[in-house]
Amino acid sequence: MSGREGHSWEEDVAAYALGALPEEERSSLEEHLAGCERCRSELQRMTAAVDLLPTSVEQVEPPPALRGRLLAAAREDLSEQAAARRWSWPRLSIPRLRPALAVLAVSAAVGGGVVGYAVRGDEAPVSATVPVDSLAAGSSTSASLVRRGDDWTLRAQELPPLKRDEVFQVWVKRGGAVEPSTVFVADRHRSAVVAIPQDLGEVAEVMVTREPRGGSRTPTSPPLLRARPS
Amino acid sequence: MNFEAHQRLGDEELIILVQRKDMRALEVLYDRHAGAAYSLALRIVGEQHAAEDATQDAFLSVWRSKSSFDAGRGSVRSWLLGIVRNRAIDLLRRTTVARARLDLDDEAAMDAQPAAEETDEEAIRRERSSRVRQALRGLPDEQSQVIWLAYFGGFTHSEIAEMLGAPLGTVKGRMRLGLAKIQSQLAEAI
Repeated sequence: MSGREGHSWEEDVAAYALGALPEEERSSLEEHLAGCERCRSELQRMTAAVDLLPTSVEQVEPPPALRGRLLAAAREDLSEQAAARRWSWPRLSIPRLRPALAVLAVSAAVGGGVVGYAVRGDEAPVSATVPVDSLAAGSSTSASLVRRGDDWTLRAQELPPLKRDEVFQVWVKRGGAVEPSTVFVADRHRSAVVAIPQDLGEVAEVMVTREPRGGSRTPTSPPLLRARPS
Repeated sequence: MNFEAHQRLGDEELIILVQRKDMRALEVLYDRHAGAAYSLALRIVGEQHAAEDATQDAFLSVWRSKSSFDAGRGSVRSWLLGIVRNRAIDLLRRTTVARARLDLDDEAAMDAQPAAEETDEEAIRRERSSRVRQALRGLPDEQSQVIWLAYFGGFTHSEIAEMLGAPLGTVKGRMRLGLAKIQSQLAEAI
């Protein structure tokens, strides 16, 4: 089983399975594997062992905030795709509200952080409305958190104006940790209806701050709005 | 499809939905595998924020269909962990000198009492985890060392040979013998 002088392909298979074969050697091994049944079975055995290695490490729960950040980033992808499909000029100046059999809330964000996902037409009745306090002095903003089943929505009116590169961001405080949630901007009437992806059943507090476009990992400005769902 | 229905889906079906941009499928996939993903990333990069980045990058690359799952090559979890490992190794190479932890002794503490309340699945995982660690401890040091350096340190076989002052063929041979021993010992468990 020698391709090159003194070289045995079988020896390379273990290194390849471990990800330890240098890049320049990988394609020749892969070419060899395509034509060698014996090395392919060897690779299967080696891979079965390599797949067990991650189970040997100490299992640690990821920080709770990671989940919200991932979902927010994934949501941004969706909005960028939708905007690219629907509009042929730059997104920057287009706020939009999607009309709604299925969709409860969407606001287009400057530069692409979008919030809101479809709620089924057979949605549950409103089971709770939680008042939201406006914290800025002299503010005329009013808001409430509305619950239908497990779905929570933030409704706000008379939102303050945002600077060009800003968005509003929702935060969810749970067990002492503040998790980023969705980002949004107001429509031209300065209102917003925002679907909150997290289940707020055990959440101590929901807040809204202004953040740079795209959102932040931790709040960078004092809360504009605050509510206690439970 | 509601959340509960998503939770009943197998991993392979979930992946298809995730790549069709189904947000709930992504949530369920995350809830199932983020623990293992983050733990692996943390072991490799040794630091929380970098581990979070590697984990997030891996799930996002699945979401964006940058990597495609091939059922012939193993489970969804193994595939996902492979992506996480690659991201973590990339981060390691880009930011710091690679730190490889060769010492399995600190893992020994993990073989102690199970958590008070444990699901069947958690118990099976903990048991298998313990058996893998045992198998690794049972290898000659020279074999577990090269496997550790390769898998968790991200070093190539030639880099390992240089680090250890050993011939390249010897390093390759140790990898092969070590993995073969793990595989044959744990074949029933796989």
